[in-house]
Amino acid sequence: MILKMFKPTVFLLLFILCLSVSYAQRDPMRYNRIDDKYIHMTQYDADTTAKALILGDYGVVEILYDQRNGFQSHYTRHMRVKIFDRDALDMANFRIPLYSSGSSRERLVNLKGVTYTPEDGKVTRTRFNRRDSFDEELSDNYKTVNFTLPNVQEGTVFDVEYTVVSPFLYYLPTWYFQSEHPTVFSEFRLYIPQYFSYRPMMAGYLPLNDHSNDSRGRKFRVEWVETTNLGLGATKNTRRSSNVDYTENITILRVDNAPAFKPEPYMNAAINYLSKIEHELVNFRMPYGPSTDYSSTWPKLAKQLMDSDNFGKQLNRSNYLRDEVARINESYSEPVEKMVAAFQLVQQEMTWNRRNSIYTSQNLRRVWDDKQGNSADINLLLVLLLKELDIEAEPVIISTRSHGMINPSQIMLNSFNYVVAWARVDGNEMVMDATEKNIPFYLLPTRCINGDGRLIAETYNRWVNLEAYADNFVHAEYDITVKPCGSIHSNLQRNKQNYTRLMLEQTFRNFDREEDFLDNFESDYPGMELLDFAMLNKDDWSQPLLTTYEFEIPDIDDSPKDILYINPLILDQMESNPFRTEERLFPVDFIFPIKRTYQVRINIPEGYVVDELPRNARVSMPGRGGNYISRYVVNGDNTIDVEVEMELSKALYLPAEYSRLRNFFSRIVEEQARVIVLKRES
Amino acid sequence: MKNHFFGRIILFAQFLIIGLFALPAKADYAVSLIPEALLEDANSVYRENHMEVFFTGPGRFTVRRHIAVTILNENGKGPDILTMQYDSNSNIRFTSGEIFDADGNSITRIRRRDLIDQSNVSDFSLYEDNRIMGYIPRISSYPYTVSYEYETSYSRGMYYAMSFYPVPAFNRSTQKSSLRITYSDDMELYLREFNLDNVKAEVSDIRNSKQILWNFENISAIRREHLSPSLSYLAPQIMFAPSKFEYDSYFGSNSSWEDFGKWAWTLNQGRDNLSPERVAHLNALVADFDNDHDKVKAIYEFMQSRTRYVNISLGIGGMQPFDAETVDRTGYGDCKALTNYMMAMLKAVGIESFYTLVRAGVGRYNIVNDFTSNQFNHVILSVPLENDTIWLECTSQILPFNHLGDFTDNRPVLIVREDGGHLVSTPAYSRCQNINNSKTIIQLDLQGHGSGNLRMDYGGIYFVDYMPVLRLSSEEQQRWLYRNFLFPNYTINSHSLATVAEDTPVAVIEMDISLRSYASTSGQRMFVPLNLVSASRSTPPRIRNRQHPFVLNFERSVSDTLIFRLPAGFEPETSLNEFSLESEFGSFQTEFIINDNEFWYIRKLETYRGFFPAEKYQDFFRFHQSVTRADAQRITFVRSR
Repeated sequence: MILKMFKPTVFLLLFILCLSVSYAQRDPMRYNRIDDKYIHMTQYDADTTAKALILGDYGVVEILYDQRNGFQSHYTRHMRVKIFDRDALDMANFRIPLYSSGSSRERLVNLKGVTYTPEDGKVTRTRFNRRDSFDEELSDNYKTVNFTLPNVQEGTVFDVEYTVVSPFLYYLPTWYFQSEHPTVFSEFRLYIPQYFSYRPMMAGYLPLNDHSNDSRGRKFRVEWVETTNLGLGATKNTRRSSNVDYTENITILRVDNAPAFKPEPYMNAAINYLSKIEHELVNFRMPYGPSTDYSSTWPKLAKQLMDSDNFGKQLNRSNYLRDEVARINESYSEPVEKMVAAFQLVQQEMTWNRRNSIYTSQNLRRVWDDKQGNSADINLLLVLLLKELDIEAEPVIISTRSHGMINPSQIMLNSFNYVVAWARVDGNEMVMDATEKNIPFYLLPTRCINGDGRLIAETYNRWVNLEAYADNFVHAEYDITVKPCGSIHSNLQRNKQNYTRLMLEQTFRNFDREEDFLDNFESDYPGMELLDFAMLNKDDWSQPLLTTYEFEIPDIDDSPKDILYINPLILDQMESNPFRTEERLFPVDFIFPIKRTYQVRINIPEGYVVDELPRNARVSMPGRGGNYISRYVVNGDNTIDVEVEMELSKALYLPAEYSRLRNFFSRIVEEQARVIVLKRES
Repeated sequence: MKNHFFGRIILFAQFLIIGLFALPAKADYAVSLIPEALLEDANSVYRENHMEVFFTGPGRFTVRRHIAVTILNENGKGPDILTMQYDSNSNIRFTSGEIFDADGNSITRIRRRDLIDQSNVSDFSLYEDNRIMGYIPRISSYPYTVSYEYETSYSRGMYYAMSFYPVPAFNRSTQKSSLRITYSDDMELYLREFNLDNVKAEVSDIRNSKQILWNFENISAIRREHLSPSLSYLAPQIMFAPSKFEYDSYFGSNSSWEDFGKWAWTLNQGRDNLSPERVAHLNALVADFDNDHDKVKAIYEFMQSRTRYVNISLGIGGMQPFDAETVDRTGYGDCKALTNYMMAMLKAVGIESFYTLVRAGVGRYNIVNDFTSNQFNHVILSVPLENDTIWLECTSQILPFNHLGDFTDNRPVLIVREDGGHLVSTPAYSRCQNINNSKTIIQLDLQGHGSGNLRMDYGGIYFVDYMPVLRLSSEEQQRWLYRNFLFPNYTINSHSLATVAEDTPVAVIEMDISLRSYASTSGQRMFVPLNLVSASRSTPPRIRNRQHPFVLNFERSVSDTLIFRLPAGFEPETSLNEFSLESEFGSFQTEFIINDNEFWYIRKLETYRGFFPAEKYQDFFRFHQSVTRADAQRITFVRSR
C-alpha cells in the first residue's frame, strides 16, 4: 500500500522555487562512458560461470519540490550490464512499474539506453529509441512501461537509465544490492531535505563497503502574495519573495562485488536472504509548520494503524453484526464456544479473494455484505465480532512466508502484509485466520507460519508467536499377510492430524473424483493394486483423519518360493535421502515439527520361519533435532511386529545443523532398507 | 450500393430483435432442476450456453453470448467463467450479469463497473493488446449459478476459423445450448460439424439473409482422463469461417489452402529488404561453403547469435511480421519477424526458403486439414534443398540446426509461397532418434557401500529436453543431477555433460559417484536394488472404467545395462524373472547374466505412437505395470559357504 502523503495544498499561497545548487558528489559511473575493456571482456574472473555481469547498478533518490506537484521523489536508476551468454539476453528486457492512485501518478520522465556490441572485429553502437517502448495497463492502479534494448548479443555491454517521478513518499523505492548475476558495484544514494526523515531497513548477508552520510545547503526561493487592506473594501496585492535555506541530507550506500544469488530447495522465500534496503517515512516537518510522526516506535505504529480508516477505525462500528452477535449469545454461554462460533461464522460466510493486505479494502460493513475480502477485511471482521461477544480480541499484523520474515528490530509497516486475529479466552491465547475454508480455528494456514506477528491494540502492543504449536502426526498400521509366492496382501490404516491432515485433505479435494485420487495414489507405488479405500472423520476435526487401504502387491509369478523377502514399511519406506547436496547456505524449513509412527504386523505363511530379522535401531540427531527408533519382535503365533518412530522436533534447521540433519536422514534411509527374510522349513 | 448498405442496417436491426426474443422469459436456475444425468462427472453445468454471430460484411461481425453456469464445487470454477477477452480490434459490451443461489434466488447483480479489466499477458511481452474483463463471484458456498450476457463487435474481419463448443470444458455438462449465425445472402460461409450426433442445423432465409441455428440439449459431462485426446475430438463442435475476409484492407479467401496462403504471402510482401552491407556480409560469410546445406547452417547460426525472441503482437492482429531491416537493426523479434528475417537473409545469398504456418504445441496439435482457415499460432521456416527439406525454428538461440523439437514436429503445416499455400507435414522424431541409453557400473563392498560410474545418452526429443541442462554451470548441473537421481545416499565425485553430434545431436551425461549403503546387508546377505537408474517412478493411472480413447504421442527406444560388481564369494540367492513382452504399445525385454562376481541386468524398452480405443487402456496399463515391476525387483546375494 502506498500512501499519497503530500498535496500541493500544503503551501496554499506559498510558491517555492527550488534553487538547485550545482554541486554533486562524483557519480560512480556516467551514462554512455563505457570503458573499452568491458566491451572486449570475455568472462568474469571472479565467477567464470556468470552468464551476465552487472558492471554497475546506480540508483539515486532525490526529493525535490515544485510548484505544481509539491514534494516528489525523483528516482533515477542507471544500470550497466555485460552479457556473456545468450541465456542472459533477457537482462535487456525491462518492465518499469508505475503506480497511480486517483489523480496522483508516477511518471517515467527519462528513459534512455545504448548497447555496444563487438561484431566482426568492430564495435556496433545502437541507441534505444524511446518510441520502441510500450505501455501496458495492468490494472486500474498499475501500469508498466515495457521495453527491450536493441542489438543485444553475447558480448554486448549496455547502459540503461530511467527516472521515475513519484508523488508517493511514504516508501522510497526498494534497492537490491544483489541479483541472480554477480554485481561489480551497487550504489544507492539518497538526497533528502531536512523536512523528511526515513527509517532505513537493511536486509541480507552482504556487508556494506561504503556507508557515508553528508549534508549540504540548498535554497528555495519562496514567493507569495500579500494582501493589504486599504480601507473602504479596497485591497492591494503585493508579490513578495524570499529565499529559504534548507539542509539536504545525503546518504551513500554501496556494496562491492556482490556474488550471484542462488536459491536452494526447501528454502523459505528467497526474499529473506537477498541483500536490499528499504526506507519508510518516520517523520515529516513542514517548512514553518508542525511535525508529523510516522511509525518510529511500535506504540506510534500501533496508533497509526488504530487511527487508520482502513484498520482501527473499522473496529468502531458493528451494528450490522447485531443479529449475528445475538444469535451466538443465544446459542452459547461459554466464551470458548462463542469464540469458535464466531470463527466458523466468518469462515463460512466470507470468501477470501486471495489478496494479502494489512488494510481493509473498503468499509467492513460493505465487506460483510459482499461476502468477500482480503486478509485484513476478513480477520478484522472476526476481531470485531469477537469483541462484540465480549471476548478479548485484537488484530495481529504479520508477514506471510513468501513476503519474508519480520525483523523485530525494524519498525516498518511495509514489512507486514497480512492480518490475523488474536483472542484470549480463560487465560488461553489463540491466533486465528478465517480466510481458508475447511481448516479448524486453532490452525493457521501454513503461509502465516512465519516467526512473530505484532499484536496491535488501542493501549498496548507486543509480539505474538506464529509457530505451528499443534501436534502434527502420521500414524500408520499395517496388517500384512505374506503368501508363499511372495505376494503381499495388506490392510493399512493411516491417522493424520492437523497439518498432515490438512495436506491430505487438500490433495483429495484437488481431484474431481475419489477414483482419480486413488488412481493417482496407486501410480505412486508401482506394482501395488488397491482393493479398497475409505476415508473417515473427514469433517470431524475432533478426531484424526482416518484413511484405510486394502491392497496387494503381487509377485511376478505364482509359484511358491523357498525364501521370501519383506520390507515392512511397504508404502512408507523412505528410499532416498531428500538432502543430497553436501553443503547448504540457508536454513531448511519444514514449516512444522512432525512425528511419524508405524506399527506393522506381519503374518508369516504356513511352513515358513524367520531366517533373518533386522536389528533394532535407535538414531538420534545431536542437539535434540530428531529421533528414529525401529523395533522388530517375532511373536509365538507366527507373526512379526515392527514398530518405527520418526520425529523431527523442529520446524527450522539452521545451516550449521545441516550436515547432522543430512546424516540423520541418511541413517533412516539405511535402516528402512533392511529386509526381513523368511525361509521355507525343510 | 446504397441499397445494400441499407439492407445491412435492417439486417442488424433484425439481429437485435431476434436476440431480444431469444432471451428466456425468466429463467429458473434452481439446482434441483438439473437432470440427474448432467450431474455425473460434472463440476459445473451450463444451464444456458448460447452464441449468436452476426456478419455485417467481410470486415465486420458481432458475437453475442449468453451463459448461465452452475458451479457445483470448487473445481467447477473454470478460468473461462466470467472472463471476457478482447483486444484493440474489438469492442466489448457487458449487457448483464447476475448470481443465483442453489434455489435459484438472485443474490447479486453484476454491473459493468464491478468488472476487473486487465492485461492478459503472461511472461515478458513488449507489447500485446490482449485484455481480459472479468469478475470473481463473491460466493462462499456451492452450488451457485452465474448468468451473464455480453456482446463483442469486431471491427476487422474473421481471418481465422471460429469454433463453438456446446461443452467447452472437461467435467462440465450442458443443459441448453445454441449457436445462431446470421449472414447476408451475398456472403458465403464455410461450416464444419464435429460429433453432433442427431443435432441438425436449421437453415432459414430472412429477407436477403440466411440464418443457421443449432440447438443442443442435455449433453453429459466428459470426464477428464489421462492421455485423453483433446476435447475437440470428443465433444460436439461447430467450426465456421467466412469464405472471404478483409483485414486492414488486405482481402483474403478461405476457399482453398492455395488462396489462404496467397493472402499470407501478400502480408509479407516487401518486408525482406536488407541493407547492402548486410547482404555483402552474408555473402562473405557463406563464400567458403560449396553446398547449400552448409550455407543455410552458417546463416542460421549467425541468426541465432545475434537475435532473440521477444513477444510483440503488433500489426495485422499479430499476423504481419516486422520487416527484416528492423530486425537486423534491433536484433529481436517475434516468431514472424525472426522467420521473415531468416528468409530474407537466405534470399540474400540466393537460397529460396518459405515462411511456414504451424499450430504449435506439445502433443496432438493437429489442424483440420480440409477446412481452410487460419488454425495456426506459430511460424517456422522451411528450406527445400535438392535432397531434403531443412526445418528451422527461428525463435531459439540454442536449438541445433534443423531440429524442430516436439513443439512443431510431426504435424501438417502450411507453406506460404507466391503461388499460394501448400499443406505438408513436418518430420516426426522416430523411435531410432528418441533414444535414451545408459550404462552403469556399480561396485560394492561387503558393507554394501561402493562406487558407481554412469553414462547416459539422450537423443532426439530427449536431447531437446536436456539441452537446457547442458547450458547450466557445472555447479548447477550437479544440483540438477542430485535432484534427478535417487540413489539412497550418494555423493557425486565428478560429472560431465556434453553434446555428441553425429547425424543428430546426443546429450551425454557421465558421472562418478560414491554410494553409501547402496545395498542393505545383514548376516550373510546383501540386498541390491536392481534399477535405480532408469526405472520409471510411477505407473500410468489405472482408470478402471475408462470412457474415452487415448493417445500416445511419443515413441522412444530405451536400452540400459547395469553391471554390479560384488565382493568375491557372493552369488544370487534366488533366480530372477526375465521379461519379454510385445504389445501394440511397445516392447520390453530383460536379461540377466552372471559373470564371475559380476551381475548384469540388461533391459530394452520401446514405446510406440498410436491412437487407441478405451478398451485397450487396461492392456496399456498392464504393459507399463510389468515394466515397473521388473525394475522394482531386488536381487539378493548370499555369501556362498
